[in-house]
Amino acid sequence: MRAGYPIFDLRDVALGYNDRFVVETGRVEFECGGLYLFTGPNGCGKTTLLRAMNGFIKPLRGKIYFDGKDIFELTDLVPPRRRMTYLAQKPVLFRTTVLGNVMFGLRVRGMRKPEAARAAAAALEKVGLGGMAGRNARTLSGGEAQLTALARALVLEPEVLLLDEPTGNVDVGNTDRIESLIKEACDGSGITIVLSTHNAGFAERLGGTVMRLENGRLIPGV
Amino acid sequence: MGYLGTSFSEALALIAAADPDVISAVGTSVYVSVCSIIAAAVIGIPLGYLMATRVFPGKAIVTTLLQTLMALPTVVVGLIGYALFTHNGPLGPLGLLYTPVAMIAGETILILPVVTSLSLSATSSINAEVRETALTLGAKPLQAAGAVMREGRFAYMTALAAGFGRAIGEVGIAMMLGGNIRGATRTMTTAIALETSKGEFALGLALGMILLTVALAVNVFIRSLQARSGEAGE
Repeated sequence: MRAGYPIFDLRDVALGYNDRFVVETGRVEFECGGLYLFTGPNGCGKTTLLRAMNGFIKPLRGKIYFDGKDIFELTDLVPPRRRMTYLAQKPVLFRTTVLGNVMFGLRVRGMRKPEAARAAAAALEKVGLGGMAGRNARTLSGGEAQLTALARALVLEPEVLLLDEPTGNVDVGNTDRIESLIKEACDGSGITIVLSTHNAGFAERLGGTVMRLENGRLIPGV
Repeated sequence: MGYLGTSFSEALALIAAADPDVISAVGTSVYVSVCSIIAAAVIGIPLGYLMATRVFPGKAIVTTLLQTLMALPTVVVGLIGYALFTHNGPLGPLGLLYTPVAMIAGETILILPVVTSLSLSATSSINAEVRETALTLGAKPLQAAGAVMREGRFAYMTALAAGFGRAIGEVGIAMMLGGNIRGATRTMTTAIALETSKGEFALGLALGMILLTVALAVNVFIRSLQARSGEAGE
């Protein structure tokens, strides 16, 4: 994907539950290789917006285009979801080892087990969890779980990374580590990152295009 | 007490001597129950998964109906099966009445609501985010279903064990669709009923002891699964 191409295009999207609007976006484009941050207090609709971009919440109004296609017009959401990865605020880890969790996305794409294990091990090294590959994922601390989920997302080398409050449940040390991993992903790989955070300091340190969610409206370029 | 003691000793002797009638009844019981549980698993687990993960009109009614069918009387299934498989019934030309196939069909119908309903509960108890997480990581719907089932594997196995326990202990279907034919369709339960009515209390008691042992083994299996499931934080 060339830089500057709008990989995501939100056209007057209105999201909500039971016909009650939670978020209205207006027209917003997300260019390839960019870093975009949704900021705003808890409960303002950041998660709703990210989940909609990942195809889980259908807009009450408007369209969400991914690479030129309205994702809710697609009969099969697997191809776009294999190009983007969503990381939830409280990531769910499967009942298996840390390595098994990181291998999951590679295995469902048809990668053979030895190659997937090698790639997953390298991803765990990258996030600083190299020594935890064989551990039961359910025994990890909040920060370790978040890093495992980040490794699970990064190993897939997605074109777009949707991160929901990636430092919401982690301590200061792991926040720094996650921050540097996000910066590294932005700088080196041309990946488009859209993340939400209520932490103004974190948003400021990351840079990128900040969009504030205020009174149910997305205000770009704040 | 003397009569009971003598019968108990004779029963132990029959088991120790591997009495052919005992072996045959045990074999038929296990064979029919295992085949039934396999058939019920193939149908009931995916059905339970779909019912838990899909929204459709009348879902609450269907779920209640399914739970009600868990208490389906075995003689009612036997009666319906008999009507279907009897010479003049719609499936009569197949000649399956009084064969293990008819018994397997009947017992599958009996335990299908048990397996489906417990699979539905198992799927519902698994965090819905497991499926969503799998999908966000690029899984196809079937692969996401596989991820959910791996998460709830102990609960699904409990559902199968419960179904097996119900199948191996029932008597109505085995009697009405199997006909209690010696060496062919005689199960532990039908043999117990027959031998006791003939006054062969020792043989009935021997079969009863084996049946209880099988039931105990199934329960120990269920409890160990539940313990593992609890330890694993499910």
